[in-house]
Order: sequence, then structure tokens, then C-alpha cells
Amino acid sequence: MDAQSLTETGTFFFPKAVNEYAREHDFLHYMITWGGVFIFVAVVGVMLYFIIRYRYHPDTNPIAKKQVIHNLKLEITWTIVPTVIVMAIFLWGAKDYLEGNVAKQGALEYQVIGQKWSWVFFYKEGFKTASELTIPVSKPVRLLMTSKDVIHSFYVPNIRLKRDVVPNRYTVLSFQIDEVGTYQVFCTEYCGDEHSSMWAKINVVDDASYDVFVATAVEQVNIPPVELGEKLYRSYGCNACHTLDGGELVGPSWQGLLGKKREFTDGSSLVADEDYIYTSMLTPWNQIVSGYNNVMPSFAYLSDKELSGLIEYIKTIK
Amino acid sequence: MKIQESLALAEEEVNYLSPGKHQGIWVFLKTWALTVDHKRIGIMYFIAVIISFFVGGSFALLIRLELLSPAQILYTAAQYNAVFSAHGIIMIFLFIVPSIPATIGNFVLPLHIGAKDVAFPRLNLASLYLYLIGGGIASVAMILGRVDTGWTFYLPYAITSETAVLFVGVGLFIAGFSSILTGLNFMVTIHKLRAPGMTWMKMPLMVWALYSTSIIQVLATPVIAITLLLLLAEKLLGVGIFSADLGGDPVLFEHFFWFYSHPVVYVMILPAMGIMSELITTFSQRNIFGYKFVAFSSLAIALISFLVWGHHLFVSGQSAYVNILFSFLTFLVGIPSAVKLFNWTATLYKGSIRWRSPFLWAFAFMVFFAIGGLTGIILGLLPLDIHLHDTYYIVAHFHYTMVGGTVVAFIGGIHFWWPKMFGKLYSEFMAHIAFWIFFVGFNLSFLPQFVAGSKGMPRRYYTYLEEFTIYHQLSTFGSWLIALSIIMMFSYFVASLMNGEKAPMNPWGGKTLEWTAVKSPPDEHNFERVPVITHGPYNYESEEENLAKQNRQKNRGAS
Repeated sequence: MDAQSLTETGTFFFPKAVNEYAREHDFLHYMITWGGVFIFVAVVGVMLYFIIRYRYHPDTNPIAKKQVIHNLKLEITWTIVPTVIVMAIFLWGAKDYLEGNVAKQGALEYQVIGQKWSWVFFYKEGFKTASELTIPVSKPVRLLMTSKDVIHSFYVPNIRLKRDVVPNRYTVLSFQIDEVGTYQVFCTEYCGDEHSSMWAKINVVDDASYDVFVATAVEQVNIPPVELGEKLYRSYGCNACHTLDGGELVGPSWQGLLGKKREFTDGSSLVADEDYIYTSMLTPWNQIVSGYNNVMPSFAYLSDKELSGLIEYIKTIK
Repeated sequence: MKIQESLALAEEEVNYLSPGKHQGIWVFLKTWALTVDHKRIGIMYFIAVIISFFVGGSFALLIRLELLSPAQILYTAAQYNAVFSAHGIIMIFLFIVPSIPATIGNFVLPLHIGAKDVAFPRLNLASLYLYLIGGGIASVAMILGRVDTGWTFYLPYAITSETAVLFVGVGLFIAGFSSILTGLNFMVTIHKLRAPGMTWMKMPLMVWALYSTSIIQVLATPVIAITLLLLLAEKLLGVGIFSADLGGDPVLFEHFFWFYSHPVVYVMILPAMGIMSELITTFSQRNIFGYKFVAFSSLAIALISFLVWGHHLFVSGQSAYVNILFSFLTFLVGIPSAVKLFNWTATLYKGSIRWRSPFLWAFAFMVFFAIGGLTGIILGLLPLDIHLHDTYYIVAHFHYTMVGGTVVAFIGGIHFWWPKMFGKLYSEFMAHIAFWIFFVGFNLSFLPQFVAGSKGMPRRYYTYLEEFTIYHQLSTFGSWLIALSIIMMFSYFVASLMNGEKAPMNPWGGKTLEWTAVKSPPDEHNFERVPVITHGPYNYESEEENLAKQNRQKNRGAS
């Protein structure tokens, strides 16, 4: 399912708000924005008034009428007033922020791994999904996130939250979504070539559907290898670099790969077989096909079953 | 024939541009390359940063061109990433940072304080060469090779990237010393070389701004130098400070990087504010309102600027309380900026305002900077920043402050001091047209980005969701208008050099020393005799004072 549109739903500035925190966020933003517009119009208005009112004219206004150089009261006023305003705004923002940061009791936990250029979600039932996280509606969830390579950032515009995903440490994102639907996830920390397509979706479903989803996912562990491979090809972003029809992307096409002669940048060559595909997924940097760059990350975190699923799938692409 | 030529030469006015003029290309180049004259060094910086600006600007146009369509149209991902990285690196390190201090600052500072030159003229020339060498290495590396890390060089990406990060790092490391040494030079100059009678409270506000800028340059730039060095060490030797693989902390790099890169945005904006004070007083023929507030707010900004870097790490996972502290400090820096804006507005009160081209840019600065500042308040607020962080809202915000602020002030300053620099006037008519095209183009480029960003459009994307197309197309159309305006400026300035009308000593009716005591263009040694300062920098007369003076003269005549 496609994610809900960000520009066609919601208000002028924001995509649809799907929880209380997002609504409070929007209220705060609009308050400050309108306040800002008011101050802007006032200051620029006064400025324009002065510019027109006191414009140079050889007869009526050849030199300045008056040299006002100082007015301590006025200056102290326009130092103190902005100070008070920004401090009030600061306190409001800090309060909202802290409230949004309080971890909810009994939240459902998911592990998230970011890697060039896909997101993988691990469920406590023991299965995982790529590029799509399914959660129940109106239940607090807690994402425990880490990266396998460089820094990424997990951003869900509909709930106004993002958090960096950093190698070698865990970061946490806590939220709950109160409306059923599919929501867009972006990576917002620049992470290389396919940064722009490092997307995911959050499916928010009602409790009954969630139970069904978990049950089928657990069952699906028995999916035939070729089908599993085809699914992984799309969900793990293999399709970002490898075509099935001989087309050229960042990496070589998978068309008729098995049995094809491969020439490598170090001068060696071999005929592609299952073992070659297997090692290419685990340590892609060891054998770079001539004419391509060393950009592919390791997929060692896939299970043996998934790896052989991918191999079986590649074998079917003629 | 020979006699006529030499007669013409004898009649030609002698000024700082004359030495080496009619003695062949090699002597000409040599007198420029080995000069220690602050004005000539300023002009050479000017040429160099303008080249950087054109290169960086071309990259900007290339970015916008690709973004016309949500799908890939012109480049591969790798090419796009190299283009936006080059745009950022060139514009920030090689254009904006040196733009005002090194060009206008070098030219104007000694004139403003009544000095013959800066304190260390040879160091000044050395700074120029460091900038050229460092900038040259970085540019060549980016254009021949490529760099795809963005101007932020975040780790571990910069380590894993197989692009020319190493050479760009070395180049920027070298160029950084130019910034440090210029800052040092200016500080000593301001302390030691002020003309007799020029007390601290009688300095033009541009000098206060350059002084505050220099403090930041001297204190902050070494931090980026060390950070770049550590980055190179990490890349070459794998020492394990930042690399997660080796037990290092990539977020530490972000702290180091922003500890320099936040203060440096004030290296960009403070001298721009200095130019503003000069433009507004001159073109309203008014003494500045609240001299001390404007002067000390520059220092306040310089000091607070060191305490706010953490707001670039609001979503990095740093502790909630640290975030709140940095949010608080960020708001503090807004106050002196607001005070300046109010003071400039009040300076217009009861003035005699001349709607000339430099003043147009001052007006644009105030409008753009107000928008940049107010959106900065929004970004200082934690819950709002978390949503807007790394989206186009940020892109729009920093273009409103960096381009709408610094670049606009730089262009205004060039329009203002052009007659002094080259002794020629330019077409006021063309300048007005170029200004309005820029004004419309700039807003068209960046206003839609505020909306796209808050709708969720992340930055540094070369393909994007189709629904964001309209915002990107508006931006791209705006970028063409900006380019048109810049090309117009370039052509009327070149026309002015070729056959512009000769500029008088004081075309704008300014009151600071460069207008009242220095020829256009200046002599090699600036002043005929050492100026003695008896009054403040902006002692414009008012109608009342003028009338009183006339009455006194009449009475004297009558008696």
C-alpha cells in the first residue's frame, strides 16, 4: 500500500497529524509562526513607513530633520521585551519536548537496523520485515535503533519525530499513532548514493489485523525460497542497484547471471555460480566486477535461508 | 607620438592601482603578486572570492536543474552528491567566510581607522597565498576527483567514502590559516593603528563588527583545523577516535565540527551587520541610533556564538537535558540580533533617505534577515526543530541568513565601495533592475522551501516524492532569476571598469574617513596627512543644526 500523501493531507504547513503530540506540535508551530509574521509585518511596516515618510527630497527634505542618537528607555525596552518573549517561548517548547520524551509504560518494542540503503525491523515474535513496519493503532511503541554502517536518521513526518541512527550505539524513538493508515518514513541523515530512496513505511492497523499480521508472518517463515528471494529483492533495496532486464544501474544486472563469465577489477575472472553469489553478498568488496565501483555493503545479517532464497531467485532470472 | 604618450601618462592620476601599469605584463603581475598594500590584497581577494562564487553558484544551478523533476533526469546519484557537496564546500569555506572580511574588510579597515595599512602587511599577503593554495587544492580535488560527503564531512561516512576527502581536507586545513591570520592581523591593527583621537567609541561600526569577527576567527578556526587533522588521521591511520568500528564515537566529530561551524556562521553575518550600519547611516544621512548597543551587540553575538553548537545535534541522541540547555542558549543569541534590527530601523527615523542601489541591498538585508531570524526562533524550539531538522526548512532558513544576510550585504557593500575601490561609477538604473530581479528570484527560490520542508521533504535528496514537484520547480525558476541578476551585475560592473564615469571623492555623502579624507581611488598610502579625529563616525547635521549655523553666520554678517 502507498503511504498517505504528505502534501495533500493536513494543513498548509504540515502533513496530517496522527497523534496528540503532533497536534500540540502544530499548535505551537502555528502560534510562533503567526507571532513571527506579526513581528515581521510590524518591523518591516515601520521600516517602509520611515523610508517613504523621510525620503530624500531636494526642497522639502534635503538633510535629516533631526539626529536622534540615543534613547536609553527605548533601547532597554526593546532588549527586555524580546528577552521575555523568547524565554516564554523557550519554556513552552521545553515543556512540550520533555512530555514527548517520557517513555510510556508497557510499550511494544521493535529493533530497527539502518543500513545503506534500507531499514529492517525485528519483531519480538522472532521474524523481521524490511522497509515496512507494522504496528497496532493507539499503542505506545518503542523503537530501539542502531546502524550497521554510517549515520542514518529515522524520520516520520506524520508524527513530527526523527532520531539519528548511529553505529555502535542505540538510540530510541517512542511514540504512538492513533489513526489507522500507512505513513512515510524517510532517512534524513545523508548516507551516500541512494540516500534519497532509503524509505520505509509504517503500517498502522487495528488490533485484530495486527494479530493476523503477526500470525501470518510467523507462518510465512515457510515461504518457498524463490518467492522469498523475490520479496527480499524489493524490500532490501537490491532493486536500487541491480536490474532484472540487463539495464545498467549502480551495480551489474542480474539477468542471466548464473553461468556468465565475470571479470574483476583485480584482473581475475570466474564463471558465476552459487558460491560466487553467496560470497558476493557477504563480502562484496573482495571481487568488484570491472566497470563498477565498490559501493555494495555486506548483507551478512540475512539468515542462511534468506541468502539461499536470493540465490534461488537469481537463478530464475534468465 | 612618444611625447604625447608620456604627456598622457604624466596627466594620468596616480593612485594605488598605478604602480606597474604601463610597464608590460610581467612587471604588472609582479607588482600585484608581491604587493603588501592592503587595498591591492583586498582586490585580489575580491577576484578570488568572485571566482569561487561563480563556481559555487554554477553548482547551485546544477542542483536546481536536477530537482526540476522528481525522477532522475541529468546525473547519477553519485554525480548529484558530488555537485551538492562542491556547492556547499566552495560557498562556505571559499566564498562566504572570506567574502566580507578579506575583501571589503582588507580594503576598508585601515581607511576607517585612519591607518596607512594593516599591522602586518606581509602576513596579510601570506594569508592571501594560503587561501589561494588551500582553496586551489580543495577546488582541484573536487573538480578533477569528486567529494560526496557534503560540506559537513560527517563520520563514518567520510571515512568509508572513496572520494577525494583527503585532498579537500588538506586544502581546507591550509585555507583555515588564512582565516586565523587575517583575524589576528585585524585585531592588532584595530588595537594599535587607530589614528590620533579615534577612541573605541569613535570607530565606525564596521570596525566593531570586524573586531568581533576576528575574535571568532582566531578562537574557532583552530578547532576545525584540529578536527580536519583528526579526520585525516582517522582515514589514513585508523586511530579510532571517531570510527565506530574501532570503538570511537562518530557523534564526537559532530560536536567538534559544530564547535567551529556554528561560530563561523557569525564570522559570516557579523561583518555583514557592520556593512549594514555603514549603509543605513550614509543613505539616511543620520547618526546611528544607539551606537553602544549596536557595537556591544556585535561582541555579545561573538561570545554567545560559542555556546550554541549543540542545537545542530538535537536529533543525534544527546541527552534531553543537554538539548534543553542548548535550546536556551540558542534563544539568547537571537536577542542582540533583534536589537540591531531595531536600532537600524530607528536610525531611519527623521532621516533624509536616499533610495540608491547600496541602500536597496540594505533594505533587502533587513527583510531577509528578519525572515531568517524569525525562522531561527522556530528552529531553536526543540519540538519544532526535531520535525524540521535536515529538511528543506533548514535549507531555506540558512539561505535566508547566509545569502539573504551575508551575500546581500556583500553585494550592497560592493555597490557602496565600488567608486572608492576603482574610482568609477556604475549604472544606477541597471543596478535597480538587477536588484529587483534578485529580490523576486530569491524569495521565489527559498520561500517554497519552508513549506516543502515542514511538509516533510528531506534535504540532500536527488529524487523525491512526486507530490513535492511544484515546490522544487518554483525554487528552480527562482534560481534562474538569481543567476540573471548576478550576470547583470557582473556586466554593469565590467562596463563601469571599462568606461564608467569618474567617481568623485564622496559620491554618497558619507562621513567616515574613507569618504572625507581619501581620494577615489585612494593613494598608495591612503591619507595625505595623518587624520586627527575629533568626533564620532556619523556626525551628520540635522536641519535644526544647519539652520542654527546659518543664523549664526547671518548674525555675524549683520554685526
